[in-house]
Amino acid sequence: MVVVKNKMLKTLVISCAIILSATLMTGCVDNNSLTKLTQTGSSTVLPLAIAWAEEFDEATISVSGGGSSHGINFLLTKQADLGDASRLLKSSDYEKVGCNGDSVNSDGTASAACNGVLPTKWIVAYDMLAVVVNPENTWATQLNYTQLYEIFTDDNPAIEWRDVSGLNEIAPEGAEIEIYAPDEASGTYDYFFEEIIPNWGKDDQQANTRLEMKNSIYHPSADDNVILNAIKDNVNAIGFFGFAYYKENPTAVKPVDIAEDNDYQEASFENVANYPMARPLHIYTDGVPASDNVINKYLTYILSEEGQDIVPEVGYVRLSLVDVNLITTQLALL
Amino acid sequence: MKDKILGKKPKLADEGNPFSLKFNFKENLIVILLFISASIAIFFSAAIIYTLFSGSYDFFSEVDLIEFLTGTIWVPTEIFRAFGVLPILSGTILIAGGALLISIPLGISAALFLSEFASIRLRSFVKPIIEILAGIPSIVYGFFALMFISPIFRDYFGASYFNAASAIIAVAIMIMPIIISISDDAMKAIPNHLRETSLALGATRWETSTRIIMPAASSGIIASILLGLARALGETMVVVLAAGSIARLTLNPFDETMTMSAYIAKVATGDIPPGLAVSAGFAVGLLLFLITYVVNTIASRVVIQIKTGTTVKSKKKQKQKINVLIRIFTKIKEKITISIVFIRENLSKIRFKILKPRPVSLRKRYMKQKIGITLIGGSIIIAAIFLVLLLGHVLSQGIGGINITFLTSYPSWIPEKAGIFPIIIGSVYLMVLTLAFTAPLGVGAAIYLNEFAKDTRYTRFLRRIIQNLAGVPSIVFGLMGVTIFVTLFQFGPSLLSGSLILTIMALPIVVVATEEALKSVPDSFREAAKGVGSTKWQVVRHHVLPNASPGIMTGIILSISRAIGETAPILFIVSFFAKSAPTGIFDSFMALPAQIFYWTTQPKEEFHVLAASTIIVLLIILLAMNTIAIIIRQRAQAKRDW
Repeated sequence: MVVVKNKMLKTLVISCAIILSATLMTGCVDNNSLTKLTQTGSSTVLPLAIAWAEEFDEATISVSGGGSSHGINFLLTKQADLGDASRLLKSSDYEKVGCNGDSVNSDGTASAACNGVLPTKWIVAYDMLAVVVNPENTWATQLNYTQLYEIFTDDNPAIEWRDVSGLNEIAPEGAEIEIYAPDEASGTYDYFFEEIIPNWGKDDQQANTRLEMKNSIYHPSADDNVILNAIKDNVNAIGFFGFAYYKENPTAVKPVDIAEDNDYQEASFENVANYPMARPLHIYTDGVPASDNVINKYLTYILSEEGQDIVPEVGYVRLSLVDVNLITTQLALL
Repeated sequence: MKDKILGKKPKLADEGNPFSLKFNFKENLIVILLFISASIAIFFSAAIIYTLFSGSYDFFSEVDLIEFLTGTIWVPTEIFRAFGVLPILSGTILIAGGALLISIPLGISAALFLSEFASIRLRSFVKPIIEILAGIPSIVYGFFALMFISPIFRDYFGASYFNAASAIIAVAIMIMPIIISISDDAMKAIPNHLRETSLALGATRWETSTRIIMPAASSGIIASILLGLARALGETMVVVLAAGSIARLTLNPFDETMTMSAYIAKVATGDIPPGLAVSAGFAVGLLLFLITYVVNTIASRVVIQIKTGTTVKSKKKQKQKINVLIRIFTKIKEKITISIVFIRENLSKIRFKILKPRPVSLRKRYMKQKIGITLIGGSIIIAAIFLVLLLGHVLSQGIGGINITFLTSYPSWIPEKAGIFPIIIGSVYLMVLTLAFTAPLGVGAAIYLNEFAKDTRYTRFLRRIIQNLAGVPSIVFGLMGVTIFVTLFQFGPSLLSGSLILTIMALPIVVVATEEALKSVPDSFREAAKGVGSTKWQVVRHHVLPNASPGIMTGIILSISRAIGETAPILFIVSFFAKSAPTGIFDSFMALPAQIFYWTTQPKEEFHVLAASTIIVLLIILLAMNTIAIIIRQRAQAKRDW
């Protein structure tokens, strides 16, 4: 048994050696005295935040994910300096940490602080939604909100592609619609249905989503790559996700031109100002940071030409393409 | 000189006196420490229950409990308000149950083959590889299920794009290492004289292994199944990716379905604002916790029943209820019980049983042996096929991306520049810290439970609580970690918080495996040591522990592998970007599985390749860590002469 004990000792020694060497190695690399910031929240904003954190030299920013709710919650409880959110601040975010939900405005700003934190909204980029079909789909090249409503909601839903108004001549017979799209926990889902269902989220909401019918027509997935692959393999499939997934796989799926009424718009970065489906991505901070604060410098960097140049590289839309004033008005506050 | 001699004399006298106060003090202190490490599981469970309760408070104050438990539609939003948990409960039963149906026969046959029939060389080659399987991040299993298994069901069985069947198979592969490894240790630990006696009495090797060895190792086998079940219940990533996320009341494996843990993970990490839907997730977590507790309670009764052949002493009312269940299980397990009682109490009775005239000819019995060995050998081959497919899939994708730059540079948003140096450091730190917490706590708890604790209600409760921790969905550990370690204890999103969360997750496997290992040490060792005047702690320290070390090592290997491949528990605290590697336990950190998860969800194909390469690096690190432990285990096993 002595052998065994020695071996155990050896293991211990080896593991200690690993720790030591790791410490020493990192000791050489690191040693900066930069301010440390923490940024957390939405997984949609995450890739942008990672890119900005890497390029911004004046602070060491640790970036984590966990969802918009987590980001806002950590900002409100002073556990993060920056909270990423792909949705707006809601009154329930306030109520969760014991504050009065009435002080949250409908535009996602707050009129009163919560536990000493005044969440302040910064729009940093736009995420364009692409409604996509299989490349072999020749009939659904453009869809308006009425047609999307027929396809994606439980209000007299279209079973076959022919049942969609305006497509009964063009679509092949017997082609049954199949939907592959994000699940209800995703911000993209919420945004899409807010666009096509009147009074979405209110008591008099006009229809429910087809996902809520649970009849195997709407196949939800949390992973946009999975949705992309599913639509690629199914000629009758339709779905939606962030434009970046189409941009990286332009041959796998085909984007549909979208119109609120009849003004069909092509999904492309250049056309984003006219395209009806693009949602803002936010970073929330505690108040407007003072000009000598490194958070202020970070936000200034994000809104600068240099910071915005990164946005299309990651797959999102730079602010200037949507509204030039967004940058100037936000920079004026800083 | 004088002082030394003077100082030595009373000490010698002390040691000579077994009733010395000093001696007892040390012994008592050790027992207290062991007791604390066992009881710490209660603190962890309380923390989890607190997290789940506070999260689900809003839900239960608005929703009728009966509606929750019996409803058949699950759309827990403010507008739709359908709160029936049955659809996701059926999904959970379908996937966990289906996975067990596959992995129990395959896993136990494989373990039987490895333990009783395989050559030492084959065994020493196969077992470590199976254990590595436990460390593959669950997201890899998820994509494997979706890309490789699911198309088969789609093409030949008309299954839908997302289907439960592919998730069942992936989960079955995932829990196989736990079942194989712990069952194998349990069977290997059966004293050789039982085998020899049985063979000497004319039983074939097949009869010996199925009728003597398997029943004798039943407590370890059942423990391994329970751990496997727990893992299947808590699995989220595979289900979310391969089975889809529709809550439907169905037991059709070719249909889309969703499990309880998948729902929790979805709402906890999503973008929906706090409200009923999120609160419902916590309520589901609470229900899952209760279900696992009930399953574990029943199972522990069965184990006691099998081991002792008597019912547990308890209050009459409880007894009546449980007796019904026990009677059912008794009938199933009657044969096993009989063999166990024979072995335990009276070896002469075994002779009587086996010498009983049999209508089966010797030739037929050997035939049976041949068929049996072929079958269980076949199960190893099936397991190996799964493994080769899975590893081949990962290797073919990622091997091209591994080079010095990749290993030494920092992660970047530009794929060409990205490397994983600080992530490797972070994961190694995390692994070492988790090991440093888990090993003493887990082994201490097991020693207390098996060697020192009397069979009181408290110890039984402790055992169940620890077993139960294994079935908690990994995302719940993450939520609990944020509430308790990050926020309450102010540890922040640091290495310390991360390793503590992983420790709780790894603990049950270490405790269960260690307990089984301790049980496998024959009582005669303890009695002999006591007989020559050892104290209880001395018996444990010098005779039981060294002999149990192979099984203990297995537990530690498996648990660390599992902990290090997990993303969900550390999802809220792990950093996805850093300009420097962590240097202290309060630093923020990056970890390999989280990076793999992040990169696979990105749109750029280049990131998917990086993810595959990172998986290979993770496997190599696991392999390196495991090799040390495996060498120790095999040395110890080779030395064992009983």
